[in-house]
Amino acid sequence: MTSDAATVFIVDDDQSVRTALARLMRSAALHAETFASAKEFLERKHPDGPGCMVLDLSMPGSTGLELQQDMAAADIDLPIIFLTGHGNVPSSVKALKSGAVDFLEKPVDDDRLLSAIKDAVEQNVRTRRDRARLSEIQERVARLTRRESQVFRLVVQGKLNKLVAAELGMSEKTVKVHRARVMQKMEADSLAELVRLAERAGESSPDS
Amino acid sequence: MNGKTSIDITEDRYRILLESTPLVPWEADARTWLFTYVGPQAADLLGYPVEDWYGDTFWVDRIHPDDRDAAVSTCERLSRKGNDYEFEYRMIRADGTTVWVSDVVSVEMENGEPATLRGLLIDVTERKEAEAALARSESRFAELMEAAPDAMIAVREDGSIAIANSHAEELFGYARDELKGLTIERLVPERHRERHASHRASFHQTPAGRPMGADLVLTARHHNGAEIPVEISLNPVQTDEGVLVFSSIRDVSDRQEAQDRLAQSEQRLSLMADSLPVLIAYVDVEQRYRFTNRAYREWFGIPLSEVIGRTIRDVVGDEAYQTIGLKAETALSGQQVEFEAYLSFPDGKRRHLHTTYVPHTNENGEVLGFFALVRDITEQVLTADEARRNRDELAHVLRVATMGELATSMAHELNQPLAAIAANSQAALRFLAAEQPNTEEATDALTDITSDTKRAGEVIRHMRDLLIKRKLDRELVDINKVVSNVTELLHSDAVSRQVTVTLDLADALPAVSGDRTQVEQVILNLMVNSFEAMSTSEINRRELVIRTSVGDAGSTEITVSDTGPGFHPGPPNYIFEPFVTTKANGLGMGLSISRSIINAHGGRLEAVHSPDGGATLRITLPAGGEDS
Repeated sequence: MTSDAATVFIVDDDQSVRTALARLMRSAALHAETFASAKEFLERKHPDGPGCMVLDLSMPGSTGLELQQDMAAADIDLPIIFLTGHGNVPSSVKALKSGAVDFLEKPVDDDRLLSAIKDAVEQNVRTRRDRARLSEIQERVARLTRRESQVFRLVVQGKLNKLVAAELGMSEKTVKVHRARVMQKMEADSLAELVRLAERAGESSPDS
Repeated sequence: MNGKTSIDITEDRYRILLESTPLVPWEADARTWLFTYVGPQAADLLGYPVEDWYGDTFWVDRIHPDDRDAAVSTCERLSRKGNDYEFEYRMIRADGTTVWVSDVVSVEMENGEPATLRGLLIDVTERKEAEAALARSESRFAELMEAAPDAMIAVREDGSIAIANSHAEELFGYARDELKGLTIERLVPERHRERHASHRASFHQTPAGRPMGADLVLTARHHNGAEIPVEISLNPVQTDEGVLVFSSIRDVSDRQEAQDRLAQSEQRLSLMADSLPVLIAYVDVEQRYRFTNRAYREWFGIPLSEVIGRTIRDVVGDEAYQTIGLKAETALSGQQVEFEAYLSFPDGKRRHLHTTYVPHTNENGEVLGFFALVRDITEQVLTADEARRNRDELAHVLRVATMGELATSMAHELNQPLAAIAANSQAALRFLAAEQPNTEEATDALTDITSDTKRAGEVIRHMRDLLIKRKLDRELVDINKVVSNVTELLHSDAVSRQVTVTLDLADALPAVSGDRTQVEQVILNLMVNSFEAMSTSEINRRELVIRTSVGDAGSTEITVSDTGPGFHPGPPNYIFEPFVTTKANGLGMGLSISRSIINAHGGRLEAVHSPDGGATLRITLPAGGEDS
């Protein structure tokens, strides 16, 4: 996945602004989809690929902050670039504090907008990749049997087979068998990689 | 008329006189009880020949057997005493009928012994029968009277009491025997006795029944002297004995007390109602006044004696009744009514009245009438009207006061086409600068730019129309009055913001030619700015001073000084640039517009650094107010 396949979701209640922004996206070879309101965005089916949202903050109806909350609830992960009219300093501050990636004043400079979009999409691609990777690791962990996951937790703490066997009340040979199964299931080539996977999956804590 | 007269008449003449009366004269020997003389009338009395009377025991035998022993013994006993006496008894006539006689006897004594008896026998049958009849009728009356619920007394023409019932005994504290024969005046308090006697006499001349009540509570006197309030009804009855006046006497002490109490409390209420400045009336189901307080009567100009019983319509007049009548009907249907109306009355006055009708119902929920509470609110309404007119005049001042908000939304309106224009022009440049220019997209972008430019122009025109009046409505403006008006308008705002506003107004300020409303807008704008600026000042240091004075060349100067944080460092007049603001939500248009207004008046609006740190804005308006 790259930023080339990204979609820019433009939410603005003004038809001509929507059209103009979408045209600006096309001129920069970006794919754009337009929505007249946050509600429409939440209701209409839209691509689940990477991208970002360009949102008019001074729109009537749902506020940008509400939309962010609604998106979180709907498990939509899109960075938002806010556009605002003149002098809306307090709401801009609020928007930034609540996680907007950028905040631009209308009328907006094309270079600034396009670079903000590029940054936001890259960030989104990164987050999505990380999330996908994490869920893959978690899936692998889920495939372990109870015994295997016990062995997995102790091994990644750096304990030797002998110690693991003593702790779990099994033979060293059995530990070796489990350990091999863990490496195989976790698709790890080395102990170092196994430890890294455990860290990513949050399995490294001795208490867990 | 007896034989002892000294008139010189002969024996014969004496006898003729004696014998021509219906009385029977007689003489008898007191020892033998034999008649020695009997008058000829004796034959008529008993129907026996006179000779028979001289026979042995004739008199005794003729006496009624029931009376015989008593008559004989009375005669013997009294004769022996030697005094004249009179006694009555019955005798049996020859035809067997009974005659009542009265025997009047005179005794002549000899040697201490009665010797001769002389007397007259008088036929009293008629009187006796009348007495018996009376006794019978009296007992019948007595029975009836006992059954009556009230004390009853029958009074003869001479005022003596003939009969009384037991209620009368109780009421007056006399035994019945004591009452009988007592004159009726004894039952009347002494102070009324004389009058009562004369009333009684005239009543007997033209006797006529008088029913109980008849609006009259009289006073009776108890045996012990106590006075009792009573109601009396009189009924004259013709009896054998003459006219008897039967009077029923009802003790109304309880009722009287209750009435007295009621009257007292009514009096108190009416006193209270009279002292209230509200018009109060009570109206019955026929819409007739039953009570009015003094304010009510004075307001309508009707004396007390004329208002009770008159209808509402009569008092308020047909025109006002058109409104009032419907409300009164609603009240009489049991609903409380409250209304304000501007009404015309018969005397030509037109007043605003605030009226409440409260229905009065009994315990069964039936409406008996309603209370009317009326306030004349004409003055308040007029004052409120005046205030409203002032408010209307300042209404668009307030619109301008909120122009900050208005301009914010205007800025958004303007921003949208600008944003679209910017995006389209940038897109067009990109499409044209590409290795393979896309003229189609570029053309579309430029077309959109054209229409958005028009749109932006309309927004700006619209905004200007709203914010700035095209023409000044010039008049001579009293600046001091303008300042006072605006201060008054902002009074509650100042109070809630805890700002002390002080006016320092010059006495002889020349009137300025200008648009009063626009000048008011400017002053209001400056004051509101100061209020907001001082919101961060300490509460006891929020002071606003507005000063008017005569400046150079007869100009008028108005300064508005506050104790807020003052201006930013640097030339203070930058604040008049559009979109310069220190307020979080401000647009920076207020001072800019204010300045254009003052400039249009040929004057100046300047910011001055106050030596003590606050902000001062100075308006200078030229004498005569020429256009710049």
